[in-house]
Amino acid sequence: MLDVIAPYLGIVFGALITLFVYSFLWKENPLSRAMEHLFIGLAAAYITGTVYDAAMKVAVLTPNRLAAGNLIWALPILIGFMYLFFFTKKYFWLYRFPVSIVAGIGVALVIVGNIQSNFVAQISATVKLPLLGSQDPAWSWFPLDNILIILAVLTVLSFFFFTFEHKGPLGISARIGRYVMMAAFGSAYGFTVMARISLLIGRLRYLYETQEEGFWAYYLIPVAIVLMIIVAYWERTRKPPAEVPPALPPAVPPPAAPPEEAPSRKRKKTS
Amino acid sequence: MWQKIERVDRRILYILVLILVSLPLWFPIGLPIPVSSTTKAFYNTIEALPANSVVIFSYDYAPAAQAELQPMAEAGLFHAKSRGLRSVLVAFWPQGAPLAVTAAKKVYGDAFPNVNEYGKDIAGGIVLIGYIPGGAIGMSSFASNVWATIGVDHYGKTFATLPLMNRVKTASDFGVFIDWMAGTPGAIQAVMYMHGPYGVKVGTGATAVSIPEARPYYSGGQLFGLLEGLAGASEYESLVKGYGWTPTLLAPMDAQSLGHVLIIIFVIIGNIGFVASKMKGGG
Repeated sequence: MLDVIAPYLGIVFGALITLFVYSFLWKENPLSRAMEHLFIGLAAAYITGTVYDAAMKVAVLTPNRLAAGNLIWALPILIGFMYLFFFTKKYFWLYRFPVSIVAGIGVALVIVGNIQSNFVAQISATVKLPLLGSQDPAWSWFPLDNILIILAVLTVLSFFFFTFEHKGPLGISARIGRYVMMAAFGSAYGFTVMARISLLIGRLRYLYETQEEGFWAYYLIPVAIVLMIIVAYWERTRKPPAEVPPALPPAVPPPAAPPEEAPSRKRKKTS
Repeated sequence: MWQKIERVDRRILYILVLILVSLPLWFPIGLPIPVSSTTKAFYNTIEALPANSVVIFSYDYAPAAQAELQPMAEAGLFHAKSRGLRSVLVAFWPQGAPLAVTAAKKVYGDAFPNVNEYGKDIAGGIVLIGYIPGGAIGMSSFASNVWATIGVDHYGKTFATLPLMNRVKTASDFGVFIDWMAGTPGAIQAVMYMHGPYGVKVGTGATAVSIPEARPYYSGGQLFGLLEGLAGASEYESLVKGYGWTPTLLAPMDAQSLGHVLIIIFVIIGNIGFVASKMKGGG
């Protein structure tokens, strides 16, 4: 029975959730909020399961590891569990060990990788550019491409040169550098628009192209609209939560407090 | 009048976008799709690989980027299979492995992984390693020693039982590394930990948002090719069509183009309104 209705349920939930999420564009409402919570919950649960499974594969199931009695592989699992001390006040300090290990390895890797790939290789590629030439073979009739790149690099660098005041030639160069950066940000914005439209197309394709034996996902559009209207009506008509009256000031002034002691430098016990 | 247009309700704009993007999905226009140099470079590099090379496909995205990356990920796997290359599928994002399974099922059939090519060192051979934890650290470890990083595939089979994995032990065994990228870790980390130290050829198909980040690496010769969002996927599909691939993005690219035209019109109207109100002394 479940096998028969499962594909239909998948379409119903997929379509309704898509529409409820997009209902946020009209106005924030309980349905869009519920979908946000559902997404966060599902994602957290899914990632927890997947990471557990992967850790088991790496530390236990891979040959010559825990499953074969190689106990050294219990160590990374124990270190991983130390993350849970984040939730205790008394043993919070133990949580710092796995964080330090991961941060240390990460920093070491990033330093090596960054210097080679993001610094040396990028500078080398810019320096090696022939003065006349084009980045794109389709634009070979415009051999000033490389000159533009070199000028752009130099002017942008001059924008971030703060030793001297941006006046005269340095000021002109910095101003051109600012325009170059604005062009780059504009390009990034254009790509962002493209990405967002692509996401919309993805969901619309799901609604328009998904079907199970003639039961199309877009059939759910009127259902979703009716549900949204009902929820909007319910939200409009429900009674607002009773407001708590502000606390009245005490009739009799409280007795004078004893003279304050100097604040102790000792840390409070947290346990 | 311009001030009124400037203050138009945003919901009207949403409805206009919805209508204009929906129309071509129902009634495709068939706008031409010129192939960019970055896509050509990506395609040509795979074409130039010796027939028994191993291609590592890394599915580093989540369902949120599926609309942009899944079509190119499927076309890429189909391209490798059609050329007789061996494919090894990994994911450095937890959500990537099921998307790799979806791509493999589309290319190798619903019976995947119970297909003849699975685990074998034959033309079109494939192994799905699945999720490798650790992010960029996992990626670095994978490049230095595959078998020490993880020793079983997505389905729990040890590498020793998969003949194809006998050829994949370190980064020097990778023909190319292709990263379907939606963020970090992605192709940039592959450049840092595979191309930099081991000289592995790295290519990427990325979400449009990630393109400005990835472009300098292509210009610097650190990426051999770049598929740029849905447009790049559509261009790549048109090239792989020669191997019998059915393009899936012709209508969506029409929708994409019309959506862009509308946004451009909005930007122009918004700017005219801004200038007009400024000239009237409003700003």
